[in-house]
Amino acid sequence: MGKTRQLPGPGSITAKSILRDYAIYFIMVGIFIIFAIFLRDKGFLSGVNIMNIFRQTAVISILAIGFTYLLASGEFDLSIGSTVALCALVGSLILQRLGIIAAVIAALVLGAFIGVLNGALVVKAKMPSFLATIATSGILFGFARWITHLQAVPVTNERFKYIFGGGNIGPVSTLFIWTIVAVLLGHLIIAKTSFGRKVLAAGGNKIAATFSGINVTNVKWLLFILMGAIAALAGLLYSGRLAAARYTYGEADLFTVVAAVVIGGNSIYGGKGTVIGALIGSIILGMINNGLILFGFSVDQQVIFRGVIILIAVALSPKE
Amino acid sequence: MDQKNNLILQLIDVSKDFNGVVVLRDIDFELERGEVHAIVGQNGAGKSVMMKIVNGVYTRSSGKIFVDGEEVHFANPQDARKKGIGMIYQEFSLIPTMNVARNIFLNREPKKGGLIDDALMLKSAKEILEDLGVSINPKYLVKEIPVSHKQLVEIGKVVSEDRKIIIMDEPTASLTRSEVELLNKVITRLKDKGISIIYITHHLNEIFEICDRVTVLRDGRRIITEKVKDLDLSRMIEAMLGKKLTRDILETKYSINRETQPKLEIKELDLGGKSKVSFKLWPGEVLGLAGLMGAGQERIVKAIFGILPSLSKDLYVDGKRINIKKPEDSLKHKITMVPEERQSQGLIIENTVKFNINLSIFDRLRRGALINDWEANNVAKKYVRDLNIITESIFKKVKLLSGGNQQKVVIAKNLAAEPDIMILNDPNFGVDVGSKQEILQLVRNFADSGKSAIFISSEFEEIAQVCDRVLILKDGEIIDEFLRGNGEKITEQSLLHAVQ
Repeated sequence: MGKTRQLPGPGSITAKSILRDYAIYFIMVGIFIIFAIFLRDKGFLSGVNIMNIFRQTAVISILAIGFTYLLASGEFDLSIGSTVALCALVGSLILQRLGIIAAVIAALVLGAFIGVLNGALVVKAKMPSFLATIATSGILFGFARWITHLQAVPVTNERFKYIFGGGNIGPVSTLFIWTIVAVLLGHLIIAKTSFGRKVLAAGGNKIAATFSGINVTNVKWLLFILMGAIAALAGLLYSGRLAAARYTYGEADLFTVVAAVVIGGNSIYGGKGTVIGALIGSIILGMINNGLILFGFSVDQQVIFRGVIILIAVALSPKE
Repeated sequence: MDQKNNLILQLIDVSKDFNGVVVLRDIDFELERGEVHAIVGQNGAGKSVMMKIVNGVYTRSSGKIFVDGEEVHFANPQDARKKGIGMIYQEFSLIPTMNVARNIFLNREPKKGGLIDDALMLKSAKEILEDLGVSINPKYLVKEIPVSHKQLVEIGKVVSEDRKIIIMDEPTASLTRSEVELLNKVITRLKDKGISIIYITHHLNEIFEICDRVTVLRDGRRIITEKVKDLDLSRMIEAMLGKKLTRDILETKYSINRETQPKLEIKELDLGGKSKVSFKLWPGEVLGLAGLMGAGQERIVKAIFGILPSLSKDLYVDGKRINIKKPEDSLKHKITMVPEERQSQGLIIENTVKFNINLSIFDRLRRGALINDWEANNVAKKYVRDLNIITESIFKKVKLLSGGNQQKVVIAKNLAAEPDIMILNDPNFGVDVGSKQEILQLVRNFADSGKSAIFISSEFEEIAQVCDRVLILKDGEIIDEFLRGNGEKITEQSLLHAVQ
C-alpha cells in the first residue's frame, strides 16, 4: 500500500497515447497532403472543390453529432435516414401551403416526435435500440414513399432555400454556418455541460449512473428526441440546398454517419463521445469520396471503398 | 464392513500454498459412505480451497488423498468426476433454454440409430427425479422452474452420472424454509443410497438438522471434527472464531440522542417475514443490519434507496413522509449508497477518478450553462487527499486503481453528494486489509459528524467494530437488536450466534 508505484498505463500520458489520441488528425492531414499531390492537376485544391467537399459533408457532420450522442449513451438510431426523408417531404409540402415558419416547425416537431417514439420503444418497452429503430426505419421509409407516391416535392421558396443551405452570406455558404454552429454547440454540450457528463455516465455504466442519481431513462429518451430533431434539420438542409424534397434523401447517410462517428474515435460500446472527432471523420470520408471521384472511380466503386474504410476504422478502434 | 473399508474419501496431511502463501495446512479429513459431513468456517478459513482440491480444480502442494482406498492425483475436474466426485455449484450449471431431461443428459444423450432418443430420455429423467422423491416434469424448460427445482435437477444430473461423493456449496442459500425441507428429504434419500455428501454452509442450524459430522476450519487448519450430536452451536462458533485478536472497536465521538427526532424512519416494510420491518435511524449513528445471506438486509437497503420500489413501506426523513421510487429520488433526499458490486454498480471504470467522484454532482458543478471545471477538479482533488486515494492523478482511469482505492472512489462519490444518510452494502468485500480499516474509519468519521449510516457486511467482525446499534435479521424480519454503550459491547461472536 502506498509504496507501489503504478507503471504508466493507458491512463497516463505517453508518446503512444498522444499518437493514439491524435491519430485521426494526422490521418486527415495525411490524406489531404496525398490528394493535394496526386490530384493537383485535377483541381483537388481549387476553392470550388474544397467548398464542394464541405457541402457534401455538411449534412453528414450534423447527423453525426446526434449519432455521437446516442452512441456515447450506449444506444443506436438506425432510423435517421428515413427520418431525414420523411421530414424533408413533410416540411416541403407544408412550405408550399403555409410558409417557412410552419414548415420548419412541422419538420422539427415531426422529427422530435419520431424520437419520442424511438425513445419510448427503447427506454420504456426495453427493446434493444438497433432492433427497435430498424423497425421504425422501415415504417418511416414506407410513409416517405407513400406520402407523395415517390414524387419529389419542389421547393420554390427562395428565402427557405437561402436559409437552408442554398445561399451564401458573403462568400460563406449558409450550409457551412449551420454545420459550424451545430458542431460547436454539440461539442460544448458533451464536453462542458452537466447533461453531457450524464450522457457519458449513462453509456459508461448504466447501473452506476442510476445509483449515482442520474436519470438514465430520461437522458436516453432526450437523446433520441434530439436525434430526431437533428435528422429533421438535415432533411430541411437537403431540401433547401437541392431545391426539392425526395424520399431517397438520407438513404445512404446512415452508413456514412456511422463510419464518420466510428472513424472519429467514438466507441460503439458507449461511454465516450467526441463531436469534433465525428466532424473530422466526416471530413475524412468527404475527402476520400471527392478524391475517388477525381481519380475517376465509379459510384459503385466508391461505395465499396467506403465499406472497406469502415472495416479498417472499426478494426483500429479500441476493443472492450 | 470394517472401518477402513467404510471410508469413501480420505485426506491425510493435505496442504496447499500459492506462491509460498499457505492457505491450507496439514488437513486430515475422512468421509464415510452415506455420511453427510458439514464443513464450516469463516470467509477465508480454507473451505473453498479444500473443496477445489477434492474436486480437482486445484492440485495439492503436499499430502495424500484416497478415494475408495486408492490414492488419487487429480489434474482437473474431469479426473475427479471419473472417480465419482461431483459438485453442486451455487450458480447452477444448467442451460436455461433446454428442458429438464436434456439438461440431465447433456452430452451423454441416449441414442437410437444415431439420433437422440427423446422418449427414452424423458422417461429416464422422470425416473431419476422420482427416485429422489421429487416430481418435476422433465419436459419443462429449466428457466421456467423455480430455483429449488433447478437445484434438484442439478442433483439428479449428478446422481445419474453415478457419483459417490457430492459436494454441496451453500445449497440452501436461495431456498425458502419448505424448500429446505424438501432438499433435506432428498439428501436423506441420497444417504440411503450410500452416497456421501460434503455440505458447506453458513447456516449453522441446518447442520444439526441434516448432518452426521462437522469439521470446522479456521485459518487454513482443521480445528475440530465432531459428531453433530456431541456438539452445540456455541462450541461450533467458538471453534470457528478461535481466540483471535479482536480488532479495535471504533468508538463513537458523537453523543447519539435516541429521544429526539430520528433522521430516517421506515415503517411496515414487508419482506415476507412473520412481522413487517420497522426501524429508526438517528443522527450520529452507524446502524448495522446483520443476517445470513438472504435474510433481508439487502432488500431493506434496496427498498430505501429506490432499487426495489415495489416493496411496500412508509419512509420518513426528518419526520416527513417521503416517496422514493428510484435512486434519483434518494439523492434528492440526501441518501446515497455504496453498492455491493463496486465495479458493475458503483463505478464507471473506463472513466477517470475525477469523473467518478463528480458523478452525483454534475448539476451542482454548473455555473450557468456550463460545468465549472476548476471546481470539478477541486472536488476530486479534495476527496483524493481526504480519503488517501492512491493515484498519480485525478485523470487516471479508475480501472487501473487497486480494489481498495476503487472502493474509496465510490465512497468519495457518495461523500461529494453531501449525504445525510449513507448506505454501505458490504463496502469491504474484496478490499485489501489496509484499506478495510481506513474505510471503516471513514464510515465512523461520517457518523461522528452528525450524519447517519446504514452498514451491511459479510464480515460480522466489521459490524461489531463500527456499528452503534445492530438489527438482527432472519427470514425477512427483525428478530433482535444489539446496542452498544453503557459498558455493553457488540461482538462478532454474539452476532454470529444471533443470526442463526
